[in-house]
Amino acid sequence: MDFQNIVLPYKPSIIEALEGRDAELIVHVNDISEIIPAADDILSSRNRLGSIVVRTDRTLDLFDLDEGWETIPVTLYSPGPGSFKELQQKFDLIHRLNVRPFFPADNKEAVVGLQTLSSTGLQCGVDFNVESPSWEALTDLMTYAILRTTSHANVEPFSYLIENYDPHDFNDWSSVYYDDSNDFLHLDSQGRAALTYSDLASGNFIAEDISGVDSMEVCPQLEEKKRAWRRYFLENLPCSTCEGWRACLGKFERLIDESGVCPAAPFFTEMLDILDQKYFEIDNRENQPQPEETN
Amino acid sequence: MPTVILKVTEACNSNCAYCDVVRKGSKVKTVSEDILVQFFKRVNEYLLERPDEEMEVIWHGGEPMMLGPEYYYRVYEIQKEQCPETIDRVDNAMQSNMTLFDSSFTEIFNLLGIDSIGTSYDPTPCVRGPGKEMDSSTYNRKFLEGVKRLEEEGLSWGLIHVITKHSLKDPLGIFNFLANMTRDGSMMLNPVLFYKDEPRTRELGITPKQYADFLGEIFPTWWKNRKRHPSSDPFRSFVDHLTNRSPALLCNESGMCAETHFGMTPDGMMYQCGCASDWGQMCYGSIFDRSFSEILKDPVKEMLRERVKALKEGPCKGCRFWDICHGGCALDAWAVTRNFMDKSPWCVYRKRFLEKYFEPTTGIEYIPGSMTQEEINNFQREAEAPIPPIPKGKWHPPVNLDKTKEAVWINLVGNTGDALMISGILKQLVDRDPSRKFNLVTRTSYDYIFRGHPAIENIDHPPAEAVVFDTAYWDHRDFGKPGKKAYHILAKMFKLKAPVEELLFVPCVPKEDPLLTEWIPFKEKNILISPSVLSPRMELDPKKWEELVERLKDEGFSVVQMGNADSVYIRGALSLLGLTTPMQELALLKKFDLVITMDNPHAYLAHLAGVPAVVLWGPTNHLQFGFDGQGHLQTRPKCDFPDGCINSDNSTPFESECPMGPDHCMNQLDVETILSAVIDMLNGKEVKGEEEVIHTAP
Repeated sequence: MDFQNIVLPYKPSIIEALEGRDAELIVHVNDISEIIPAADDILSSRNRLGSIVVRTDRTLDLFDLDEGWETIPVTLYSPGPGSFKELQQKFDLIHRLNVRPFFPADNKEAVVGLQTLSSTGLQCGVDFNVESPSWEALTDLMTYAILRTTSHANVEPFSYLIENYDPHDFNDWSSVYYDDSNDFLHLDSQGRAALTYSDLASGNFIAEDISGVDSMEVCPQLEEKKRAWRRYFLENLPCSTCEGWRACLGKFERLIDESGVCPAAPFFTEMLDILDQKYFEIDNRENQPQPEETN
Repeated sequence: MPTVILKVTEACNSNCAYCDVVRKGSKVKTVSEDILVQFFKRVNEYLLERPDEEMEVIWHGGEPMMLGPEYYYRVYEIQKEQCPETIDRVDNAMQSNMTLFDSSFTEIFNLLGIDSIGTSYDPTPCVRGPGKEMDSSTYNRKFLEGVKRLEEEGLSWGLIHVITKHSLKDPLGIFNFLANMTRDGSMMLNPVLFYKDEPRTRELGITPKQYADFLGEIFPTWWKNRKRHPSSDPFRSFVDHLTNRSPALLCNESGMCAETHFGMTPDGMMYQCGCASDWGQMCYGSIFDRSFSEILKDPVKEMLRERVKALKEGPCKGCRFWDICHGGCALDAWAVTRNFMDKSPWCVYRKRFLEKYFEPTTGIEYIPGSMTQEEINNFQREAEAPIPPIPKGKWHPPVNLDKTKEAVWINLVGNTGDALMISGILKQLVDRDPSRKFNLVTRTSYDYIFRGHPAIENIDHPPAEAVVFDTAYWDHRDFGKPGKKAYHILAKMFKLKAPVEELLFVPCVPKEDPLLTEWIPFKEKNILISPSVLSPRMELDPKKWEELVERLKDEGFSVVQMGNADSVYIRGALSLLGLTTPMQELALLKKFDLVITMDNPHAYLAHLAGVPAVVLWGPTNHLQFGFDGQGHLQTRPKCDFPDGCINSDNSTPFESECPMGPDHCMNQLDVETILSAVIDMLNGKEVKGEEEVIHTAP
């Protein structure tokens, strides 16, 4: 099997092991000081630089941006924008860099901050990896990101969905987070391979190293993942009857309460409505109707 | 294209609760080779006799895949042998539970031209499944595996969900489940059908009303998402029928099943259809004894043809859903009344669903073939706004003027002005197509307008069950929309295609009455005024009228007032109140240089006579009712109804006084403005006026 996108922690020896693959590497670093060395290592290994991913507990206004990152795509997970008064001082620099901040979905101010950042032309995104997302704030952001015609930068995962939305199919947006098992392979610090972040965390590996993956003709775990959606239907789980299913795909199943109510359902239902509106609006524009025959 | 539902085997690996086949206990389970040979001989014979036709063979069961791919290779060989010249006109299709599909079927399905498999699914546990327990979890797992393999092999599938009593618990859940599982929402929601009273009937059976309510609970969601789920039936079909004058109808709605359907059981016995063969009804004998052509002449087929005619003239006469129902399935009727000639009890579902759910949800009046796709698309935007339920009794009658071949009776509702508009529209229709004729329901007040009308054949009381067309344009969906004039809405209702001229018409223009013309002291310039209105909200203060008359007389005009006998007399004017009929007024009008009137029939008569008019508007809107070429002075109401209180959206009583009393909108008009408009009009200039008054140039 040949994965073209590989997600891994920053460890020079693992990057070396991937030398000459011409794969796109997404490398997690522990500290901003590793951003430039990691990027250099990736490029010198004759692979492509997908992104450097860094998590910080500093808000964006307090984050030390470096002019040296100008050519490096950085995915930055931060708690929020912080003070816009402070952040404004860094706007010139941040717009020159290729940094994409992601703020947590459970922080209302941070979610509103994403809208503000987007309006200034900065690409950004929502980090859904939280316990209890703030659905109301997210609905406002989603509506803004998808429907607003005023100029604004992409807000993920909504922009991804606008680009890739198919009203007649499932719509998985995991690849925004480098977590779609059809496209991304994950390696741990020992080089062991898994299909998703959660598999990596739970030790559900498909091979002991990248060569093990290369030698695979079929990956049974991947086939199983492709069929995983069926569980919801075979077991008649609440997600199977949810109107928002085709955009959620059970990602928030854990939030369903005992009575079967899911707080995420209205958000995804509305998101599909809005995506439909956007999708068919474009469709309508492309197929201009003929003038009416009758008065 | 005729269709044969071929029960190739009555054996099945499942034991679905509502299936009649697995409970038949037939001795012969599978079609033998000699029957196959004979069957395709008959197919070939039929197609040779009809070089322009094709025949569809649906391989049905039981479970047809239980026979394995080898069986179908043999079928293919036999088709080639027996149909050497016609095999290209044999269309094969299959209905299967999919649990047995694997790649070994792919090649032979390609050879047979089967590229899509019809299938069924039920999310409810223990309805579909193998064994006595109907093990649905095993069944469902195998089904989804089969579907996956089918898709991998490049074949497509369509899904039927049979609605049982279990489904009624959560209609929307069932719909969402199936829409999610199929991804594009392709499905057919059919009611379970039983023909015997037995325990499973009571356990699973549903009524037509329950079926309608089941669909009704889903419909608002489907309507909102219909572009996402374009192929969910029966909703899709109902919408398609709105745009299609010759809709593709299912066997149980087309009234054509006598010509289009056959069924065959494993022992080679021919039946009317698959359901008939399951129920052991309408048997036509053995395929060895009778050709398809002979079967088409069978008395049972003849009975089915006669049934459609009898229902149309009998129990279904006048039903506005006839064109999409045709009395329904004869077998469904038989299952309840034991009489094939009765209409199907399931027609209740169609009527209930359309009237109770479809029309109120969409705001579309359900007239098959009456809309363009664009018009339906436009309802997308409207559907997003809450649409108030349409009150009962406000529907136009179910008449599609383009389709109805019977003589239509026009039930003229409205006033003289409305009658004049309808007369003008009918005149344009008959000018374009001299064969277009209508009847008119007797209305004493307006008969004179239609006597001798080239489009009117009779003016009378309509017979019972007559097709009656109501002209209440104010109930039309377009009424009240910006830019939609009453005249054009009526034209649309009468299917008068663009260009539409705002023509009013009376067949005979009466001659002047010398008694009147000699008595009226005409001057060089003469003005007719008509302040009469039906609603006090539309009245202009008589004092203003008096002042206006005085000013006009000062300018040297002769002023004559016309209207009903009970109208307020305007001092200073020569009164003809109560002395003229509309026809006499029409004859007199040419003596006048200008008419000053309210929103009343005199404005219409002036338009018809071609006399310039200044029309005064307040609680009604000249953009809705005014005619091009007239001068309109429209006040802007300063109340809760800035667009006018008299329209279809308001419940304002037409006859009630305006709560603003003397300050009501009409009285915003001042005499100077009217006078100025009159002078401008007479000089052929654009009408100008003061602030707060809209002026429309002639």
